[in-house]
Amino acid sequence: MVNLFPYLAVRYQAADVPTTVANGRAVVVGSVPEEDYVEAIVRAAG
Amino acid sequence: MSQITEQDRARIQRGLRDLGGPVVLRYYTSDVDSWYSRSERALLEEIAGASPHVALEVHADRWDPGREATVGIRRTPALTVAGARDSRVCYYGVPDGYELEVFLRLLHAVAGGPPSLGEASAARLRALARPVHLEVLASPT
Repeated sequence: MVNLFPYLAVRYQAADVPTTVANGRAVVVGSVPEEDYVEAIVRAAG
Repeated sequence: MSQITEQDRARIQRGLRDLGGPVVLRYYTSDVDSWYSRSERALLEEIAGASPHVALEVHADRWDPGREATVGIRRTPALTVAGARDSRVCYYGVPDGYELEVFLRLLHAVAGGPPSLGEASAARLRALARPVHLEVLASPT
């Protein structure tokens, strides 16, 4: 995705991949344990 | 993107052997022919040809904001992946390189395979009060 749409990496200031964006904001960078990933999504839903 | 290798062909065959249900891939791309679009389409045709459960629809049209809003995609090339019901999963770009394995697992998830999330995680996500739009930026290698 990033190589085909590089402007997305700029928009979300993604310094690494994978970067997960929730509702337009980067919330997880890199691979993390499942519990941390879910926690980030729950917080983003806030 | 390179041409499909024998290794990728074998991965696709192996990866879709026990797909549990129907999957429809809708591929939205530009109407402008290019080496890139031909390569991507060849990969998707290989995937669709590897399982009787996978159907491929190709929509090579001009950008149409009205249609894209209806379909729920934001840019092309894009793939929507639907099982017995719409999964609302969009894949942008080409499921090439290491992404191919991830993509094949996605097809299993959409086809109704066993959930890969733990029960506690699934319960937390089911309890969300508001919708969350998730995008995962990846880079095939």
